[in-house]
Amino acid sequence: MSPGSFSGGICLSISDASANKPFERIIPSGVVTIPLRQDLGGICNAKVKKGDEVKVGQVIGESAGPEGASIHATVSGKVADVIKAYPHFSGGFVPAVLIESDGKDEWVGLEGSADPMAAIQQAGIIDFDIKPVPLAAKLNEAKSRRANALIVNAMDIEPVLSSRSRLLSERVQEVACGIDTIKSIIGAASVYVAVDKGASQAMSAVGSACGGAATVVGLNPKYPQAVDLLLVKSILGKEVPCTEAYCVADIGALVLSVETVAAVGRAMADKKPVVDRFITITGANGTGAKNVQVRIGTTIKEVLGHCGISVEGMGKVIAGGPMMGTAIANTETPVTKEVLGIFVQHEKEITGFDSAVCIKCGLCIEVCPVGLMPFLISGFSEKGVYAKAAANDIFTCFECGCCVYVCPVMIPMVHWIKFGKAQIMAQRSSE
Amino acid sequence: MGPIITAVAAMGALGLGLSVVLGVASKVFYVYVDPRITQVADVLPGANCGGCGYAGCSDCAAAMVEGKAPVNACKAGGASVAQAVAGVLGVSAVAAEREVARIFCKGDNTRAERKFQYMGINDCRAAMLVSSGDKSCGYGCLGLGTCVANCPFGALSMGEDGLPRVDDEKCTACGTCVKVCPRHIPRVIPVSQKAASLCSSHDVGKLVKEICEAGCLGCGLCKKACPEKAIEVVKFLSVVDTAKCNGCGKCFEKCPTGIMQSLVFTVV
Repeated sequence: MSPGSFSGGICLSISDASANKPFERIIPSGVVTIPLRQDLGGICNAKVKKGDEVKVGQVIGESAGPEGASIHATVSGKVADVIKAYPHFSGGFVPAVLIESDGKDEWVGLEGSADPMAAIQQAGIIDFDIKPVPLAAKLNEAKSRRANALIVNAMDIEPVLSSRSRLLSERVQEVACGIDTIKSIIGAASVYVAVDKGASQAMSAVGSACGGAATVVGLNPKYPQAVDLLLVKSILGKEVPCTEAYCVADIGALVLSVETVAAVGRAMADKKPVVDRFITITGANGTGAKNVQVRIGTTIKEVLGHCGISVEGMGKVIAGGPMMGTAIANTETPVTKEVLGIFVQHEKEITGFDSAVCIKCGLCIEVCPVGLMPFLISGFSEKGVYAKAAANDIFTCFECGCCVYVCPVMIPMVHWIKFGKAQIMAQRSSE
Repeated sequence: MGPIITAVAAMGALGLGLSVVLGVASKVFYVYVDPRITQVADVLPGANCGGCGYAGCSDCAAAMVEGKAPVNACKAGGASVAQAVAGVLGVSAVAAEREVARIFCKGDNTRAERKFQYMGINDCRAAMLVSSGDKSCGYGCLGLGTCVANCPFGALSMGEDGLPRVDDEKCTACGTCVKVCPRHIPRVIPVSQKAASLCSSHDVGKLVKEICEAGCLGCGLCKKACPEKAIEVVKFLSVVDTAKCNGCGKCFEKCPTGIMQSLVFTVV
């Protein structure tokens, strides 16, 4: 099958300074902060109290339901505190466990459940993607909707990030093991691995390791190709009709990021839970760009320090990439399962927004990868006409930011759309 | 002449026929509408602010006529509208106490810290989507003026210090500002209230001291000073019981941050 493309999107000419840099391991020395909610599955129940001794891999937060993901200690040492309200980077407060490292890095393995679904939940695996859904929930959804095509997403979500391509080339055995497990759980008939066409190293690695088990698909790195809707469109040639009501599982596909699949492989083969994140760190202008394997709970400040990125004159620190990431307020914020990368902008590189009026040039419509009219939806949310924003498919927008990138008068359309979504959700929950 | 006569006759006959149909239909499908509903709706302000809890002024009028809502249900209209409604309905009006909105935050640009520089769109609700707002205090006024923009009566304005001001004369206590504020900083209070702790923070005193010069520390000095026992400290925030407070002012002197204040209203 020849991979297709999608209409819209943009080819970003941002330097890829981190590409082909091997993962460097960061093990935090001081205190780590582990929030007890790191996905969309809800808050985990604390299993430890102040003063307890913990080892790496020990469960410190047990998922509330069967479709959640447990949270594990990422350093060995003593629990310094369990706090009830820790600020979450996307807003709101969550409980968190503080562990003081003893530097010994002693491990406990997983209990090793025979049932792969139970093992996935115990290992605390979530889908490391834009929507951090617990993997157990995602697999159950795929099973109930009879998804039979597994797509392993090794396309990097944004151009400056390269951790997915790198992970595939470095840890292809884990990925292969993960593919086998997931394939048997959902009974997938076909497996695809989506790789950036330029990442030749990753492509050859996966080709030799997975052999005939998976079809390797090389795709053009047009942004935002890595989003599940567009991957399915490019690889299977199918389109999700209305994303408010349907998801890619409805058209028979399960899309998982390569980090998720590798985590499954690690849980099954090595009996190790999720304690590390494999992410790209990029400083302003690509300085200090590195791929790192960092323990969850390490502060962003420590990670930046490791990469030699100074905090002086720093404008914005963004969790994720420049297009879809969230700016964070404090570099003491820990790396969690939701962080897809860290991108730093220099003070001089930040441009503000004008309160300009839309000139109806239509560029945003041209680049919208899901065929929306961004100026219209954002205009409706700006004027408070939320019913019309919803009627124009505000919930189909996955906030890729292409519209704002091309807007000649720099209207903060994505922010208005996020705002509109929040207002509509608030209205619906009050009804 | 022939065609004209035919045309006039045809149109006349058609009109006559249809008017008979309409006349019959209006008798057959007649629905009784209490004429007082329209009369009451006419005396209501017609701003459809929703302060009464009904969908709009006409809904409120219907409820008043049916006796489901009191004649003074219209908060925006106040005593004069209550009188007028009572006049239409032939009952005596019990004047509800005049209420106005007050901003329960004194952490202005100079006194409250900000944890980062917010660069997004000018709406407090949008600012809340970015790390829960830029103020270090998780309870304080964000100062982007969502209440000002949404006030249906133009009673709010943004002060230079980054806190909204209430024009007591124009404020009708409709409660729109209370509803739109993501942090519920404006509160509607009766004009008889003499003192209040103008802070919304439930943070512990130590933290408040670090981030805001005008925050309630929950120290309880006001509670000790109050001879009427009208002050309670609820989760590190002083709350005045209006029924007991006589406005003696002993608490104002004791408050270390000066947020326990006498309330001055320009309306009665």
